[in-house]
Amino acid sequence: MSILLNKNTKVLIQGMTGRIGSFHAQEMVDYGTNLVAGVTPGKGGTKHLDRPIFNTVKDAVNETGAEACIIFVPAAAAADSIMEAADAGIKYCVSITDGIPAHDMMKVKRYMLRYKKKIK
Amino acid sequence: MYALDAKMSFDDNALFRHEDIKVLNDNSQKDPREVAAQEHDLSYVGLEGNIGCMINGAGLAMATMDMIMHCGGKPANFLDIGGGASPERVAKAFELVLQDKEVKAMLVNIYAGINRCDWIAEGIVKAVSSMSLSVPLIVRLSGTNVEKGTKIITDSGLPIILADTLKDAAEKAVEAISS
Repeated sequence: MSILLNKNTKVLIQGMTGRIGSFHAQEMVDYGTNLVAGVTPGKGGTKHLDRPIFNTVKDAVNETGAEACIIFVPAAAAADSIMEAADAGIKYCVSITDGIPAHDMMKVKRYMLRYKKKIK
Repeated sequence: MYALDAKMSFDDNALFRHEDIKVLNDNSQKDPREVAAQEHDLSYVGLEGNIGCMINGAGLAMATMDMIMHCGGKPANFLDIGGGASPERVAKAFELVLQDKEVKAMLVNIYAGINRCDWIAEGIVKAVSSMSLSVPLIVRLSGTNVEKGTKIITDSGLPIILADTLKDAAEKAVEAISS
């Protein structure tokens, strides 16, 4: 299996300003992850842990060139966050949320069909 | 051809947006242990053994139950405490498992990622301090903040048996029952 991410990969966090997001953002920073931005709708323009926060993933990607993201968003909005990330051009996305409704994930799976994997 | 009956299942995770379906729930038709668990949003399934379990992650819970059986014991329940469990939630889960009179030993197995060993340890200490624990308690912690969590347990002075690995925890639980 090929290496997908390395220490230089630019990572953004959706839900970074929340309780769980903040805790893990700090852990990631301490570990040396190249954390470049956070996304929390409504908190765009502010800073958290010294990183810029944006209202949308699209804004964050345009400004920082982030390619990977991790999502710390509650179950009700998690599936939407995944699709938003895909739409914004994020290549690698990890969603840690437990309890996302099955129907929502079916939508996500279907949605991902738009993004064919390019073989370089 | 006539349809005489229908069985429907509802995704518990989506009930938050279906109030009209949520009200159809009838707790009198469910296992009382599971009703109590649901009230606290805990994922619990009652079984017939005597080793009470509190674990994070359904996969790990199943693996732990398998390991208990492999070591000659029988799990009393399945309980997935989920991620980010607060000390209060841990304490509630603890009480819930111990309400089962069949439980002769309690096994806590935590592989913390989003969870934190210090929060888990606080919850355990809180629960044990506020009840008279009459069964042996075996705890295995690993992952986020494991040193902090282990310290909280050892500093508490409570008679808690610490284990290193999944197998070690299961073996100690089975041993605790037979001794």
